[in-house]
Amino acid sequence: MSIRHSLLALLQDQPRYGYQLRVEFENRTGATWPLNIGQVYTTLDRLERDALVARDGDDGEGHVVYSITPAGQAEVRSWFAAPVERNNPPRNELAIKLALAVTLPGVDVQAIIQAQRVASIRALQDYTKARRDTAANQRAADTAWLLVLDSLIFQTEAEVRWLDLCEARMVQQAQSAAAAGARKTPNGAMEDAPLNADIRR
Amino acid sequence: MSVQGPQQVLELAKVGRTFGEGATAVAALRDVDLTIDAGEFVAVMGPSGSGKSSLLALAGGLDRPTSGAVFVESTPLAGLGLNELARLRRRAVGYVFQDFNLVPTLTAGENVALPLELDGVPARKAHRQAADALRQVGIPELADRFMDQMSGGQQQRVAIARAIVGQRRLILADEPTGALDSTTGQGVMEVLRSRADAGAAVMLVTHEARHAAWADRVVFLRDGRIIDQAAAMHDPTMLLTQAGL
Amino acid sequence: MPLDLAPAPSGRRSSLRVALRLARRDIGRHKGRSLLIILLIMVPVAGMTGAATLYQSSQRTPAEIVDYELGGTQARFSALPVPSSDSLQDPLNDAMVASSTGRYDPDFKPADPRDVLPAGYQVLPQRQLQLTTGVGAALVALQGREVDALNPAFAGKFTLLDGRPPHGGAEVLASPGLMARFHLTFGQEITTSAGTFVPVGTIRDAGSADGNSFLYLQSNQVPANLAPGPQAHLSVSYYLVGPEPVTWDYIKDANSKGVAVLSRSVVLDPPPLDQRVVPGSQPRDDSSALMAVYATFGLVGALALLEVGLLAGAAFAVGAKQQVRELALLASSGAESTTIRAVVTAAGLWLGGIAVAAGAAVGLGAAAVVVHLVRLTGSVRLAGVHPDVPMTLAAAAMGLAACVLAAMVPARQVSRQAVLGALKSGRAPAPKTRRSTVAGAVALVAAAVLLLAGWVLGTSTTDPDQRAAKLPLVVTLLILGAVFGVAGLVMVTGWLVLRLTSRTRWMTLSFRMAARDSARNRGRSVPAVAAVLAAAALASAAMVLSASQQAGLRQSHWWGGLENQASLPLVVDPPMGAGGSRQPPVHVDASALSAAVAGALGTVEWTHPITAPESTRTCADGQSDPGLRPRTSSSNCLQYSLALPEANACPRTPQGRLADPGDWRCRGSMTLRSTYDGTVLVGGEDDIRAVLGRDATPEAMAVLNAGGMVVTNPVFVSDGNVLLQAQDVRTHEAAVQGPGAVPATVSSTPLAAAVLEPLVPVPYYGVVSPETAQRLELHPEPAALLVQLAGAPSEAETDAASAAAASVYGLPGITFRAEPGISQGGQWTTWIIVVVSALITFSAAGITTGLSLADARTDHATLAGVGAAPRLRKALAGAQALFTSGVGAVLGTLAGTVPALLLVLSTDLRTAVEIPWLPLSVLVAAVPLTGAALAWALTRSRLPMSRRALG
Repeated sequence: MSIRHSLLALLQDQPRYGYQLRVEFENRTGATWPLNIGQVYTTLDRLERDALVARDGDDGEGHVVYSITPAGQAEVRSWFAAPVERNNPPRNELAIKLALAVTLPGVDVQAIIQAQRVASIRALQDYTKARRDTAANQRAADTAWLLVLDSLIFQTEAEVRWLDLCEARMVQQAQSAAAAGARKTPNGAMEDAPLNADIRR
Repeated sequence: MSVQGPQQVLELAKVGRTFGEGATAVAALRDVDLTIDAGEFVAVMGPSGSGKSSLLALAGGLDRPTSGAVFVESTPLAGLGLNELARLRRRAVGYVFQDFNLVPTLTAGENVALPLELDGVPARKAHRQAADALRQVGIPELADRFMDQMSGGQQQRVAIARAIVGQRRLILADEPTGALDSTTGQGVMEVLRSRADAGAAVMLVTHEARHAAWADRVVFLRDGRIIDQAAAMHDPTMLLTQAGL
Repeated sequence: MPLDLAPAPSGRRSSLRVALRLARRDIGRHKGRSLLIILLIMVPVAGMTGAATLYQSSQRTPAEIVDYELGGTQARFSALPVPSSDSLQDPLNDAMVASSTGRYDPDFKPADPRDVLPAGYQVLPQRQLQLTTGVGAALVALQGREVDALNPAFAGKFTLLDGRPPHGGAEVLASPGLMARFHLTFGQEITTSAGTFVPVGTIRDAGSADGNSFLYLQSNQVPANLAPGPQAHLSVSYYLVGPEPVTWDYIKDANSKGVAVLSRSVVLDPPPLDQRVVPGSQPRDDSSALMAVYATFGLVGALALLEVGLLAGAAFAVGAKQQVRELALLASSGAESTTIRAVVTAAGLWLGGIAVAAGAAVGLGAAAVVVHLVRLTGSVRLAGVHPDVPMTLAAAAMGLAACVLAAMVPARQVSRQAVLGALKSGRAPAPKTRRSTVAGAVALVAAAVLLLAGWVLGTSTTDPDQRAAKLPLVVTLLILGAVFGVAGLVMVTGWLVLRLTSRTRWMTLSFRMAARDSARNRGRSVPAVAAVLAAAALASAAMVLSASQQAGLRQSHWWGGLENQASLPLVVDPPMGAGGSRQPPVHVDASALSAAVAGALGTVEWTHPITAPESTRTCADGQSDPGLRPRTSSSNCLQYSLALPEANACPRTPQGRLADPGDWRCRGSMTLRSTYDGTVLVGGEDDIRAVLGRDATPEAMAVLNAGGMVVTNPVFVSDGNVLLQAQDVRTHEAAVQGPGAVPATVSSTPLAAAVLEPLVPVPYYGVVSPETAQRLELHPEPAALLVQLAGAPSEAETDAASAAAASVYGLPGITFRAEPGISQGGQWTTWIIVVVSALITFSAAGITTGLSLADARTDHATLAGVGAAPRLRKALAGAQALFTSGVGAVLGTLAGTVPALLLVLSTDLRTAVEIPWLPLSVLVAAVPLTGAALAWALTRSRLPMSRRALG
């Protein structure tokens, strides 16, 4: 989330002062990311230091108005043109939790997964409802918010699918472990037979 | 959509369904309890083979349980003959399938009017009600189209219109978005949701979380049993926290 | 509020309306499929209707009998050839005695019809005259009719076709056949034994074909020296013109005097059956012959019924998958099973109705066209268009029922609560193979039992009367057995397809895929195999029956030689000289005769002189002095024949009826003929081929060269020998007097014999070598010239040949007559049956192939994806067609041939069992191969991509 570039983009529109920038940002992003005014001013200072914006003086009411410099415009252009950088793989608590659970005896992995799934679905339901309510208003200003919600929905859905996959793999591992325990058979068609019997009916 | 009548539109009580006999018997459903109220949208999730489709078939009287009881609009289905079950389907239950939902030789309007006409409603009245139902699903202008003149999403809307036409308020949808792209699928879910909001009881079988999330309640099936249920919290403050923002 | 599930008052009607609409739309939507169904049902209905109509058309209605025979006259009186006063004619046919005591009254003298004519009528006589006319040096026969043909009273019977009425003098009318035969034009003279006439017009007799040679003379044109002889009353019929009808009582009275009457009023209003019999008469027994006809029609009809049903089933299998889905959808929308049945029944009724209406129309129309064409050409074989209403209705009902039943199949699948499965997969649930296999096996066992029972019962007795009594039961058993057999085979087809396709590992890819596809989609492969099976069963049964019938005709026909073969004598007795003195016989040069005939006829294939023992000559019959030796230098009274061993005599009932026409002792050359007809020939290998129509076997030649005889019929052989006997025609066995008398045997010589049965039973005992003839003093001499023609000669050609021969003979009286054989229609019938069943086979195979190709589109896309050659698609289609039609054809031929053979063996047809191997093998082998080739050729190798597959 680049506040720096967001403010620059807003200034490209027209010269603005700090508070104006904050209000405009929140309007346009659907108040998804609350911005505190201090953050705005710090950012503006840095932008001025880098010669991306310039002070235009006073608007007569004591507000300092900033405008974008040609260097700033170039920066905005390149920001829009560049894809959003993917961070390094985030530390995923769930993944760590499951990986640990598999290795520890006496932990019901399926229960963990199911609990997580219920939570995810619940979240998904909420996002969906929120999206539905927002879409029902049909306000142009909500576009960003809708996009954000969509992104959340797809992320959560991906999480659920990932959970499904984890579960399937857990079940498979548990069964091959059991089979290996019963008799030392190598991987073979026998292993998934019980599971399939349940599934194919 | 009338909201009169009992609140419980569908009730499954300790329902079991076993296929085959003896050693080869396979239990598709075991002791399933599930009720769906008017205005409620319930999604059934589960891996393939978990008994989702069996549940749907039992709810609509297309199949009979081997144990337990099914009630539609408080009427026990156990005592009904085949013809009464047929009447039940055209008066109380609407089916929406993944594919091949429409009779290809009938127009959209005629497809929607089909249950009414089968039930002896005069053609003119049936078609008026069908037009009404098509309006409710947002495609009043497609009444005279044939199946092959409509997109997949439009076909599903017609199918939903047929499922709700008349006095019916139980919609049983079996993977209705399976053959559709995600935007169109979302449109179909919107229609189902709006029907539920208007008072219908909707049971949706799906394996897609994104679609299940439209439901008020999500039921998880595994190995023929309901293992869990999830209901929306409807707590906006939690949203953003969860999103990690 | 509890749910109300009571039926809605108007629900039934309303759902019927929906059903009708759905059915109508469905037909309109799948035009190709609907057309296919209509065609497949239409064709057999049209065939049956057409056949029934043609049969009925060959039977004259009473109105037509009156029109064609009587014209506008009231009645016809003519001689009834009866032996006593207690015979009664058929009221509709004055030439047939319908009831008689069979008593022979030597004192009975029939009256002249003229003497029994009732008073008060104008009488128009018609006299038949036997005339001759010269063609070249020959005299050929033609018929004259002395009648006032253009009398208005004959309107309807005689019609002036062309030219004008004669105005006295030598002007006459003639039949078109006569004009054509003698190459006459109007105004050209023709000289006959009754004088010279000038035909000025042609006339048609509605009762006889235009092709006959008639000359219509006026009474004043007939010379007095042609005046009626003692038998004159037989040749004149009298037509009565007047208002008063001639009653049945009057006819009965006339009959008792030996006079036949065809009366307008009696024909139009025939007397009841009890008045049509003479008291004490023997009931005519033609029931067993009739039964054979009924049996044939019964078997063919029963198999046809099965076939219509199976064809309709195959037709409805096209698109059944889609329909199952549609019906399941309907069920999920709350349609009751009655509604679902109504939808398919409505579709079946719509299609079936159109199909049977079209079929009946096409059948009737085609028959009408045929009748009109035939009548236009002047043939009287078909009397008029007579629709056979009961048969047409039966065929239509059959087609409709088959159509509706076939349409019900998808409905049954849906009503089995397999709605969800059908909806999801769109695949019809697999039919319960095991149950139908068990039922099929039971049906097959039942078929075997029925066939066996029928056969055992049919052959349990040789007594013809007992046989006749049992025949209805036997025929019923056999027909039931045949139907059960086909039905059973159809039911086990599913199992069989599984079986046949289970060992496919070794096959090439296309065959393996085709086999697997058939096994996995038995819903469509079984109906197609069944349709081919039924078609093949019907075809093979019809072929066996028709071939056997042909063989029967061939056997009972009196063969003067091989077909289209004429035999001209090389030794002729000249007419008696002036003082009754006998002239010595004239020997004719064979090569001169051969050249003359070959010059007159363009169709001579070969001529061959045959040699025989000297014929009887200048031998006065009976009364001459028995003291004279039978053979002198100037006369010969010896004739040679083979003795029939007593054990090999054709067994007869005490009444003289054949005990068993199928007995080997009653069949073949020279069994039921008098010894006068037969000839012992002298010659070698070439003569055997020319006379018997087949090549001599090495064994036969060995026997011949060793001084033995090649014999045409095994009945004459006893212990490997035949007895050649010489008989003196002047004497008679003392024991038998009268017409059955046999001349006394003078000498007999045993000869070693080899049997070589001729192509058809020709009147020859067999052949001995010239050396043997010399040894036995048979006095061989050239006896006749065989002339083999390529085809049946026309009358004009026959006349030309007679003229040419007469010029060589120097005698006008010897006419050329080629053996006409039996009608050649049978051969054509057999091949038409093959063609029709081939068409059915092709369409059934085409249906499966097309369906499976459509089903397998994604598979083909996959195959193309892994780099399969486009040819594979074609190969697969070919393999599929071959499998379907091959299995069906083999099973069907089996199921048709066996009952037909048993039926033939159990009825009067058994005298001549013939299996038409060539057409049958074409049916079994060539038709499936052709079908496969067609499927291969007609399948596009490029994969047609559907929009969906691309998108």
